[in-house]
Amino acid sequence: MSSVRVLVGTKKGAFVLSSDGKRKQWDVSGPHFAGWEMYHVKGSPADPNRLYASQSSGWFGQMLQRSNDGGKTWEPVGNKFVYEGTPGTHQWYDGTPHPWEFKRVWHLEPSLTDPDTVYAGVEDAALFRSTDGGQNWKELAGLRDHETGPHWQPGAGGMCLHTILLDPADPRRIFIAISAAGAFRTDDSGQTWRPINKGLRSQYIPDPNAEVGHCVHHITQHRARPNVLFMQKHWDVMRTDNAGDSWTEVSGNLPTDFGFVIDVHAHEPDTVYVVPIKSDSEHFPLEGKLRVYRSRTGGNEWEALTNGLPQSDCYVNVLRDAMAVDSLDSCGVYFGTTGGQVYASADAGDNWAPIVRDLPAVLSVEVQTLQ
Amino acid sequence: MIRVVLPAHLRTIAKVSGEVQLAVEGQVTQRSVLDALEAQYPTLQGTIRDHVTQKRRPFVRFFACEQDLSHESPDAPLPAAVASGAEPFLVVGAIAGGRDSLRPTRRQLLATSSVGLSGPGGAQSSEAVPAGELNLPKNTPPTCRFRSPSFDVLAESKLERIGTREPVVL
Repeated sequence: MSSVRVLVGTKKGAFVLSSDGKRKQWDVSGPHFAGWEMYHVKGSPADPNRLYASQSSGWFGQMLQRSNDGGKTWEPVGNKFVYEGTPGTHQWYDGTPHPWEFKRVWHLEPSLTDPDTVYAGVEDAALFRSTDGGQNWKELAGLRDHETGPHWQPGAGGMCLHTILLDPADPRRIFIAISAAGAFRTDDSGQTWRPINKGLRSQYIPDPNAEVGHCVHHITQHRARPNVLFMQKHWDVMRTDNAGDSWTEVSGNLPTDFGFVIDVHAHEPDTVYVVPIKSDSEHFPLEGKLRVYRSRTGGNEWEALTNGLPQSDCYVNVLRDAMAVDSLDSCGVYFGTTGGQVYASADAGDNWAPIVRDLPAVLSVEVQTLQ
Repeated sequence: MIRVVLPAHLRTIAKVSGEVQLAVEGQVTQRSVLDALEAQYPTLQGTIRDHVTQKRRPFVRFFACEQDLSHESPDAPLPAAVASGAEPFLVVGAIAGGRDSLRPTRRQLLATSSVGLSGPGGAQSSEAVPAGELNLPKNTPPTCRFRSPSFDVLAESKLERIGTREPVVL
């Protein structure tokens, strides 16, 4: 029988939530790495028992952890992230040049085919790859060496590379996103990159239509249709049908088009989920009502999903890597909040229930569907 | 043998439960002690000092004999009491702020050698220093060559904001 494993990174440790295919009863394991900020935990599609976890501390820096048994035991692997060549500078908040400095790993993306190959998106923004199970890391420097690199600026959370999408149809193609530089694509396995931000419009930068500088919060993709991407930008929900060559806005009737997470149904490429958030200064749900919005039309037409979610006095946030879907026949949708709840829906969002209520602030949620 | 006390998180990383004992060849300095420490516990590489520059991480401090040695040259000799093993070399997560009555005592620091009060980020700022479990010798003679400042001056001058995943707000 199928089962699911939800991998949760929080500000105070990692948790593994397990259930059978009914997704009614959950076993909670953790905290793993208690007290550390666990930015991301993700399993290998090629070997579900191989997990990678980013463990970070303002005092003691970056650790990388690896599990070969689905999170029961862990071992530290390589934590040496060194930029290729002379790092140079990017722009600081005040527009002055600032040297590139490694701070932490935001996102880990295991290869679709090789459990020992994994990509790491880091702050200050760069993409690293390991081909030996995380022991050694090498930068794919073509990204940071892009001619626009010296003009990239950090968002308030730092200049982080937070999204990595490996194209299931073309192993040479990778999409990444950086806050607040924008989205980029490589078609040659990371040697060269180009910005894919045409159609994005951001009023908060001097040139709203600039090639780079957009605060992209997250991008998602359906495996069956890899040229169609959905983006939650700082403001605006966007869609591309040509692998990022151009984007169009699909915010439609959303109550606000600000938010962080965005994800796609496992079996319906045009079913998309977002969690609208009040911006700019509050960053909690509108009217204190936690609502997931679902579009079944690839954007523009959205419906609020509220059954089982708090509809009063709810002032949490849902951060950019904190939503995921499983691939069971009835698609499960999961998201975590800064209030420490992890909500699950076993029916594509129609009904929700908390798996756990009182974890530390949730930074990331990933799901593994196990056969 | 050189005695090193690690903060709780690094003891977990190194999989040790108490004080670390190190054999250090030649002159006993911060660098030689940390080299020996990292050789014996490779998973600590990058957690105390930068992989490349070998500079102390900003919110890690080095104490010994009631001295803050964090800003000493990494190649300066450590106090004789450390070199002889009479006193431990302390690796401490930086602590800042707090009223005098709330500041941890030296014994508390020795017992926990952890992080608390306000360090580099807001997430841990309101937490109390946890109880420690190390068995350290009482009344260790302060046979040190430096003066003895209090242990409450532990803050870095510049705190950095970490951990937030909020976007830029302009």
